[in-house]
Amino acid sequence: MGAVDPEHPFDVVLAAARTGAEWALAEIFRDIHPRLIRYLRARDPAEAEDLASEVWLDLAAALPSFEGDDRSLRALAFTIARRRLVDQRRRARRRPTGPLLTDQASALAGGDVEEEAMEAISTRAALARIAALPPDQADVVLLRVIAGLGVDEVATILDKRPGAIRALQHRALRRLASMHARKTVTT
Amino acid sequence: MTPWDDLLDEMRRLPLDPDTADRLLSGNMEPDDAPPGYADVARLLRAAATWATPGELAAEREVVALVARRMGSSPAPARVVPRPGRSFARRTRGRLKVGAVVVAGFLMATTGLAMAGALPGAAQNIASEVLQRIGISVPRSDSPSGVHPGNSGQSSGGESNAPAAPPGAHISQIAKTTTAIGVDKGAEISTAASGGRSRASQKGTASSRPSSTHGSALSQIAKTTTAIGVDKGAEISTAASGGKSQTGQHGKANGGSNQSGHSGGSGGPPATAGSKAKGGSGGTSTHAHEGHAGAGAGKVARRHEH
Repeated sequence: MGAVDPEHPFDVVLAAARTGAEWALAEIFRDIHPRLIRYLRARDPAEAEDLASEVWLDLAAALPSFEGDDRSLRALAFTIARRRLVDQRRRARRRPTGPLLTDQASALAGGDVEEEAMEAISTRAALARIAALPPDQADVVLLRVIAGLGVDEVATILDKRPGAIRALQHRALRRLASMHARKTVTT
Repeated sequence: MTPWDDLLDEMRRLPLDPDTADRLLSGNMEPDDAPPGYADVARLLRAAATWATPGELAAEREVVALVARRMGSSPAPARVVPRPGRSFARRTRGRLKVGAVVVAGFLMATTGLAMAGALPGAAQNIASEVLQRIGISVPRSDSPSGVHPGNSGQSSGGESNAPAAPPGAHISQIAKTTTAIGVDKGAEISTAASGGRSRASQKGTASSRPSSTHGSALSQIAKTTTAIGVDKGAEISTAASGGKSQTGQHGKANGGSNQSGHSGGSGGPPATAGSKAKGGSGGTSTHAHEGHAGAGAGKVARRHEH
């Protein structure tokens, strides 16, 4: 996953980014965007690209007044992403669900992906497996693994207590392990 | 046994402590170090968090340009997420509309006040000049109507080029210092007060109104008559009414007529008093209209008729 260039401390990058310096914005992009697009693809494959653009616009508005480290900025980006996802789901509920969404969800959730050897699993397939978890468990795993955030930060983003996040992540891991065990037994 | 029961059974057989769960999720655990049943989970999580692919970074140039443009076009906002539903452009348009309404209202109110001549002096002059250019006629603050709102009709009439009426002090000075007396004095004052428009001097002659007795003639009678008391009054009254007055015939028994006669005689010399009164009033007032000035002589006669 991308990261801020160690040759440029984050405070230097942030100060330059606040002035609109493109090299600094590019460094921030390389750190945040791959994580962001993976998270959004796992949660809403059809709208991921559009949602990512909206997140960046909101982040651009917040950047001049932002204070904190790279992890805080990442947390801010995923806070915005999460809100955008919720808005998108509300909109989707008001309109009929297209067949594309259903097809994509089933393709991501199982089928050929489950038959692949775990050693050869691709990033996409891994995301599909995580996305097949119950939504709150998937959110916790994605934010912890892809965004690289801690329990407290995830709790803030999901508006839950840290204890609830720990319980959710524990259940999610056991579920992933048992799903694979079942698959191994059945094959 | 249902599939759900199978899953719960598997989960019971795969214990996981919180610390191990944290290490798995943070990507700090190699698959070989994972507890039994979690090696594949560790691989899966590592695959999910692997390095960015070129495809995921393809939008870099576009997004960076978008962000730089956005940051350059708007000042630092206080909110993290903009209020949904109202864009910056819509808010700006709304403010512009309110500003336009305020400016339009101010212009309309100013124009209305200017047309009514109600603006302060300098502002009224400026408004007059500006509105004149767009074809709207508005009085200036130094026009006669501005000084005398009661005569506002004159300023927009055909006499806008007529000389301005002299100030009251000047007229008063004429009234005090003139050597003329009687009708002549009144005519002089009226002429000065009306800026030369008054015809009081013409109308004051006896020939101008043959049907009524002239004030100066009455005044002369009042001065020169040898009659006294009721008789004097009757004589003057008769002269004033052109012979129609019956005062002299009713005699002394008629109290009402006697009172009338006395009033005419005791005020004496009545014509002079009347002329002075009119001249005085004409001199102290700048409202010297033609009608007022011309009535200066005639009113004395009408008073005597009653």
